[in-house]
Amino acid sequence: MSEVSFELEAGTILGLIGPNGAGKTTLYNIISGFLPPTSGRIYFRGEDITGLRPDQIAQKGLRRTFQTTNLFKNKTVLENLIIAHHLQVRANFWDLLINSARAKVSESKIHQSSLDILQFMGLTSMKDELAKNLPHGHQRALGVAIALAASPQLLLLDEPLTGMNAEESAQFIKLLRTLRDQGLTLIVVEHDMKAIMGLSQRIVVLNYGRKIAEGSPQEIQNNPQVIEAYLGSERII
Amino acid sequence: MVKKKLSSWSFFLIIFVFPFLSQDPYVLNILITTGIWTVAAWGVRLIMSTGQLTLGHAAYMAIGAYSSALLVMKGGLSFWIAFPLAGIISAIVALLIGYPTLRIKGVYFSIITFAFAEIIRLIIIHWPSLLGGYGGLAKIPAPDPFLTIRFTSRLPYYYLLLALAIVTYVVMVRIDQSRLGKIFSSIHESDTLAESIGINIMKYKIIAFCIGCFFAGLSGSFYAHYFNFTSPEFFTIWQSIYCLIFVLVGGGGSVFGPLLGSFFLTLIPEILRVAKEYEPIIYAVILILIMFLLPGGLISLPMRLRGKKSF
Repeated sequence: MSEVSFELEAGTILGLIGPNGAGKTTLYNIISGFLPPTSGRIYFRGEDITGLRPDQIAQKGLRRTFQTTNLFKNKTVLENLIIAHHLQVRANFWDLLINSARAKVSESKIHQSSLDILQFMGLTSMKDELAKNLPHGHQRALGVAIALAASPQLLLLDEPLTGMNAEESAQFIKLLRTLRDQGLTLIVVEHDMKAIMGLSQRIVVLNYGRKIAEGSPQEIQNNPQVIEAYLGSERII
Repeated sequence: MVKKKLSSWSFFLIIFVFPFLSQDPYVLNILITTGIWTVAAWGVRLIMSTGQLTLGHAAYMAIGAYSSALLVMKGGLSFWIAFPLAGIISAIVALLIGYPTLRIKGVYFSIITFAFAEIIRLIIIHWPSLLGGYGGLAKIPAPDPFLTIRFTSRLPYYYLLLALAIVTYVVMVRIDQSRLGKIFSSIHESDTLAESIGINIMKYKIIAFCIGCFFAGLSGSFYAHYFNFTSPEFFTIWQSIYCLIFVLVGGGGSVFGPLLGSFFLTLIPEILRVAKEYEPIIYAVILILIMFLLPGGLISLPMRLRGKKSF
């Protein structure tokens, strides 16, 4: 990847699009610390986070989801959420081991917060199911619920609508808008053009690892370079 | 859940009352040896619960055995101080080995644990002045009397080991039920997701490795003072692999599994009265059968039977 640079404003949704292999997931991996950038810097809320480990970046309030379904498959939905509250635990190693009073207070708060998030994501009825037994659409929703557990400031979603039917998608988009209205900032990678155009305030287009366009959904839809990237140049046709 | 707890405690109860029925030294010796390996195998299970495979667990038993023997023989310490120190020394060595190797994902950790175990064995062999070389360290003193109990027969060793086993068991069950255990298993299930929710996966892998090796050190120390002798031949790659087999055959899904595995695998050759040389073959056959027929280990047998019945 090279020459990719963009900023985003707190409390908005940025759409990240581009043909297959454009580098969207690679960009996510770099931002969230899973891949080190060879050059360039990443700033989050004025702080340089380049080169930090994924767990340190998560600690700063930047969370991500994964393109392939990535859950703790052999745990129940509720257990997934409880583990995801890892950063909220206010207890040290010994508290955890001997289950001290401090650990218990912390656990009961986490339990409540987990139930709240499941309620919000519409997963309450299946909280005791093993994650691996959920239908695919609900697994995607659980993936987002896990990311929400640390009350992040910035959330990177990787194709969240994959595998959802039209009704589930519409429901999910409504949830994302609610999250944005509550002050969460989102970057969304999505192939569903209609959904992403309707959802995002701004769009960044990648192709072959480079940023080829940035602008409002209307600007992007009429940008000849973007149309070329998706459809090939007219001359060839 | 309650039923499961009951079965493991009734197991400990049987072990506890056994000497009232028979004090056959041969049988007590088998039970003590099995217990020593069970404690070590519990450590292996804990390390495996984070998704890491250790191929050199016997080395940490060796470190425990030799450091405790030297602390008592050269350092003049009491066994009761050297014993916990042996565990701590093993854990510190595990920290030094784990820190550089557990940050890299993949099989590197397994390879390094294997290589390090061989290094430890070679150091012992080539340092006869301090560690006794091939011949081993002899005349390791028995533990000092505990209150009025003197370690002159097998029986006090038997109950000391039972106490060690119960403490280890309780710690392992506690870890399993605590958030710490949940963190370990979540790293095992998906390390990328664990990282993305803010878990420092290297830190927790190291914690699991150190705790596992701490108990290996304790069991090694007990080993040395029980046999009054320790030798590099006790702690080879075979013993490391046996620990692994105990976990796999018994089942890693619960703390009871390795206990079941080590008892089953020690008793089968005894009952069949086969020569020691054929033991690996029997283990191999059992391991292959278990992996094909009962991938959850012996521990999953009752559940499988119940599951079959309901069909």
